[in-house]
Amino acid sequence: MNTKKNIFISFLVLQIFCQIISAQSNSNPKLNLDSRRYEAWTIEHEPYRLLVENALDEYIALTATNIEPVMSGDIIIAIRSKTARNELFQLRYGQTAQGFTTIEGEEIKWILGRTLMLTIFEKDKYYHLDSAIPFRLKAAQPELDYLTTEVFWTRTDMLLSLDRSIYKFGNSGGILYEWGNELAGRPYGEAGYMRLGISTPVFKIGLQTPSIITIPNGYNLSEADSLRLNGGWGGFGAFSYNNLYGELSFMNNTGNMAQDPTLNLTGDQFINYVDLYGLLYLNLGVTTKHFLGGAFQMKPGFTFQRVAHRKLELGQVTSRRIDRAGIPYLYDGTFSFGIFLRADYASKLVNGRFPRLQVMAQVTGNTSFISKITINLTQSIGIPVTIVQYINQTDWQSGTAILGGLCIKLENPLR
Amino acid sequence: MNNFQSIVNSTNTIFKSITLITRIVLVIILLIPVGLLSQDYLSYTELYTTMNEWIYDKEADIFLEPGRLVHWVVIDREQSRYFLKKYLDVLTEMDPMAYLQIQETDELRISAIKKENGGIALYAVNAISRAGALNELSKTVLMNMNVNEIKRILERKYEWDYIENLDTGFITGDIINVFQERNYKQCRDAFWWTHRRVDFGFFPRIILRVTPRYAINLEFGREEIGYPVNASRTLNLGLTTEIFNLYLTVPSAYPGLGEGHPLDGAYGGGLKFDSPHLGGSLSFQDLDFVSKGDITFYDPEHIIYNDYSGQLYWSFTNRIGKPADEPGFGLLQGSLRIFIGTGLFSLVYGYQDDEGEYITLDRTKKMLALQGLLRAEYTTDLDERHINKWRFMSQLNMGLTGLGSIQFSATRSIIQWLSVSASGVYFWSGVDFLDSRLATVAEPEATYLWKPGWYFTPSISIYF
Repeated sequence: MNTKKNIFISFLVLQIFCQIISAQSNSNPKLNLDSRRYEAWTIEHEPYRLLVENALDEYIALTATNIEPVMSGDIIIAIRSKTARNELFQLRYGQTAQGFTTIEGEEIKWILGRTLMLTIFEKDKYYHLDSAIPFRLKAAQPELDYLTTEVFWTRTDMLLSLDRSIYKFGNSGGILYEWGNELAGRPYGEAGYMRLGISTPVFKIGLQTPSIITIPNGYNLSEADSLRLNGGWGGFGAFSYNNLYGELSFMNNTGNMAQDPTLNLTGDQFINYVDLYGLLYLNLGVTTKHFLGGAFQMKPGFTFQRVAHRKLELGQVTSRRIDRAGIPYLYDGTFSFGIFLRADYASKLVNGRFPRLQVMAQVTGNTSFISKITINLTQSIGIPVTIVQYINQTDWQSGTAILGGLCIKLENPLR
Repeated sequence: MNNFQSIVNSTNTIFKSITLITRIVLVIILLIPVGLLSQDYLSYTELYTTMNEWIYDKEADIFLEPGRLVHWVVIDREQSRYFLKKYLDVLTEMDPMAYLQIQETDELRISAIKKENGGIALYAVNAISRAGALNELSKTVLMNMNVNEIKRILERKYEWDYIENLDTGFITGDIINVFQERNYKQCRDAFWWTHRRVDFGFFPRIILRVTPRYAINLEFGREEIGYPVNASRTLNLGLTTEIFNLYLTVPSAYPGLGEGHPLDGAYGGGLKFDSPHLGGSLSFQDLDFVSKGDITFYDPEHIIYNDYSGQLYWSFTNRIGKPADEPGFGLLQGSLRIFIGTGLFSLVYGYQDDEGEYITLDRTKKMLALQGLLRAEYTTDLDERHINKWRFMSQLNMGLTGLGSIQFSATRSIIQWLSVSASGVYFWSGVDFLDSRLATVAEPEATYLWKPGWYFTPSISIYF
């Protein structure tokens, strides 16, 4: 009886031990990491991305595993411990809205092989961007990611809206068009210029030209159409990197301005355009369970601009030092700077894809106060309504403008 | 008493029943891990049933797409030793007199093929002896091995690596693996910022990489628009990251050899971008930002400065050169990055009057003064001391109006913390600016010819 009992107890202990080991091997990977102990980055160098994709595809083909393959739109995050040498702690891939597949431990070696793992480990030797995603308290913050991405870039293949359009060629770049500049406090036709250029998830650069769009998309309550900005020729550049946003643009117009349709409104004796503009802000975000469970972002920063005063004389643009009321200017340009503050809210994403409601309020120096509400009817169609209240009443801005828009987001049906 | 006996009997029955149920539950719980393990095992063995499905018939498919093959070397010595032992066991069992060229200690190289209908099969197995002899394992023997051994080696759940040199008799074709892709970024780092903490003096420029993400940089001149070092009397002070450089421009001057009239400097700022393929820059300078007499001009009677510029380029990197231990002449192994781009460029001409105020006389006719850009950067691979032995750069900026420059720089690292470099630029033409001060009745549109000339700057760089 004792022998049977001993065998039974031994078997029981053995099985409990097996269960513990089994439970350990099937434990969930650690998701919220301590930024003091780990470094995380996204693999941006396209050949390395493809090699990781290939290695995962091979592993899936070689073994009967439930691991998902990497999709073309996925970001791949490599994580290494600050105390470990030549070993990756985790590899994550996926999209922030849908969540990530996490691979860790021995499986990383099995998937990548020695040299590829060491190559990925040596992050300073290839193009990468540091990532904060693994250090977040919540593994997925889709609303915050939506807000961060959609202000600068887009998650869809094609974004068509009245004030900003992007046609993506791949995940790393696209062609950009902008009408006006919302961050500068002058959306749509209020800025007097439009932009054409290229955009990537982290920077954009291109040309500024006089706005040729004459779509009446709103109404100015001041009823003084002549008090508005003209356009010019110049360039712009902006970056969005690690919660830091910066923008710089310039314009000039020394030649024939007949191409600028705003001259019909302002007249050629009182030409004003923004010849220099800059903005720098920090992106601070929080996800909340209140207010329909969406996310808030605050963007405190600093902005400056200079409005050039010109007139057309004998077909040439020349300096002007007098305003419409006949009061002289000290210089032929008005320079101003001030605090920039913007707050964004996005409601909880529907199916992890789009928020039904977006609200924004923004103060841009002493230029304007903007409030904007966007109702997304579907993932593809959104209707924004913007109210621009100019703070300083000047020769080039006055009153309140109510502006409407339309935003269409299209996905490639082949994906 | 009977009642008591009956209660005791009932209690015993209930107790026995509970004990039985408990044991059954316990046995079920205890068997869960076994069930889990066997479930995994079963799901995998369901893939193929016969050895013919596990081992590919090479003769049946001689026109094979290279992309379908996967090659790797087994680094886990226990794994390769185990597989080869099993192979040799089967071989000697089949032919006791067989001549054994293959040893258990050989390095094992596997080639697998992705099947058209999904799944994967063993294509070939090679063993490389310590002397370097390559022997392919016999398919007949492999077919007689236990299917579990084949599955185990194919599953790749052990330490392995890609094969650097595909000289194993496999179909090599156009296979790209990690070895061909390495070191491309060294070229970008060497010129965009630095892979060191402090890079003091290159071009000359100073870079302090405060954190891995951010660096502070000081750079004389406007290299991107064709006016490097002392060809432009400017100093850019900025913040640099992996992708952008945001800077302020202040008037300055850097000593060097040269003959010509450099661009004057004003206060301003700029933004540069760089990614492996796309990049660009944007800058402005304005003399209105300063009070009278704040800037010392090269020639107050003839002041030329660049008020706006913009640039956009596309670049690609190639690996070139021969390994250092290979005899013969030629470039050392490194990376070559080529840039092709275009830009907008504007120049303003004027003078400083008796009261110190700047008076504009002329500017390039259109804001859209287009310039073409062609640039090449080359750097040798980092050596064992973690330095790039050589770095070269050459850049051509050419405007539609004929104004253009060609510049170069060369740097040789002497020791780990010291290098010497030289850079130079030559402008092959000048620009005619309208100057109303020179106008006469006979010549109402008199011009001043600005000759940028040439510049040469030797320098020493110190690294930490």
